Amino acid sequence: MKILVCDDDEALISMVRFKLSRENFGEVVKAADGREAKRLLDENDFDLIISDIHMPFHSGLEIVTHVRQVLKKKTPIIILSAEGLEETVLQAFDIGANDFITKPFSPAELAIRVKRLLNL
Amino acid sequence: MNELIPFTTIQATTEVKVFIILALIFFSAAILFVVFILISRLLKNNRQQKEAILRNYFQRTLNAMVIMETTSTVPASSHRFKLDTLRTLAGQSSFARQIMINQLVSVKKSISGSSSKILEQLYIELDLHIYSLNKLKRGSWQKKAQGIRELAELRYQPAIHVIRQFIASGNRTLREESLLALVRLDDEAPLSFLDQYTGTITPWMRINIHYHLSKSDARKLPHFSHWFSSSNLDVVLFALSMARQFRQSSAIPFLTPLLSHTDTRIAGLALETISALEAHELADEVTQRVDIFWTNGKLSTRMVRCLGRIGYTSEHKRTILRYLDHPDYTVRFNAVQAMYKLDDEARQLLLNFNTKMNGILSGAIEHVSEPLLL
Repeated sequence: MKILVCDDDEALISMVRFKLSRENFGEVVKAADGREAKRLLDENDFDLIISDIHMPFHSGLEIVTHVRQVLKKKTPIIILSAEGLEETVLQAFDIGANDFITKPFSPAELAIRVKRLLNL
Repeated sequence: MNELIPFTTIQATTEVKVFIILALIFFSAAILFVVFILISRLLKNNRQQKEAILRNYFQRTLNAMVIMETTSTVPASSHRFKLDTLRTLAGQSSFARQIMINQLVSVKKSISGSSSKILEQLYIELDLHIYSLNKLKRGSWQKKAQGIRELAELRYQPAIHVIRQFIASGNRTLREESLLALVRLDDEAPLSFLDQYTGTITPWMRINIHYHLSKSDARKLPHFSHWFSSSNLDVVLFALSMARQFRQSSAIPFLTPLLSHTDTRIAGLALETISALEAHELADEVTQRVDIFWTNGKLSTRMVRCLGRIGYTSEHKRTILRYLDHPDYTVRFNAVQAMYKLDDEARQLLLNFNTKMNGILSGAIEHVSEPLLL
């Protein structure tokens, strides 16, 4: 199992990685910005992607579009965002995100959602 | 062939001497400047490296404490050991303490639930709250504001009474930070400071207060009508906008006196609030103030918009109809819109009026009846 976590918040990414590793979800790869995320997605196959919306270079929504329209992959994607605006949530689902979590979130809740999307 | 003249024997002119001295000064200054830049860069790099090491170490321990303690029962000895290690680290320098606080604040912004509570607990267990509290005693307002923000972010509620002292501060940033901190920390009465507040409430403060209130339990929201009679007009405007934003219908009975307020901003906002709360019971009160509002274009516009939403009797409709003849075009246009949208009877009254006036409002009626604009 390989999970990609994209967020420019180093502290958060570290905590999410730790939580997912503790839950035995396999390898957790991090990307600190949209450009790195795109590169990693082009070069690897992931079982799940967790991405923040606001990131340098490319937003989380651009990452979703890249996965769905360029790479043509059905990898489950969870979007994290500090803004829970209805239109942002709807837009994320509309372009192909599978789940949306508003920050601040509980790491335990994230783990449950990951489990559900991975059918574990 | 001429013999070479030794350098020392050259009789330099005064200009040459000055030039040589200036060149020497410039050259030495340049060297000093380069050395200074190199040293400061070296120090900066060293500091950054130290910061990265500390941050990584602290984050690893933090992950272990936050994640493991929320998912499994960690022995007290393990918790104590980690805590002692961090405490030793925090005791080493204010630099280390600040990194720890920054890290706690950063993580706290993104996580909630029991993990978030652990972060708040750690802030106290590591005595970092004392470090933040000490900042409030410092001379610089930047440090004070930083301390206030840290205490608020990490929800150290006993600091409420200390932070309250800064509400009347002459420094605007400090004043705003302290007000926002109180909203975040005081669960029982987050807006109690408004009772004595004499300053202004900026749009930035309003947005932030609204944001924090919207995250709190709706049942615990204060009754904003409590501040409708405040002597501070800014507080009244703020309370009105909050009552409207949170759709607080308990404010409706207290809106009537505000319609006659001498400050037109308050009267206007009261009309908007009545409209937003759909307070049909106040339609008569609004109608009675036609003559007061008539001379003010902005108030008249708000009034017809309001009546267009809450009016229901023929009297209310006839009142809006009067505004179809208002000298201000914006008022007339809004009156047309209000009449058109209100109900069939109002729409018929509007069309009859237009016919009687030789189609003077046809353009406006066409505009408001455009399906794409409805």
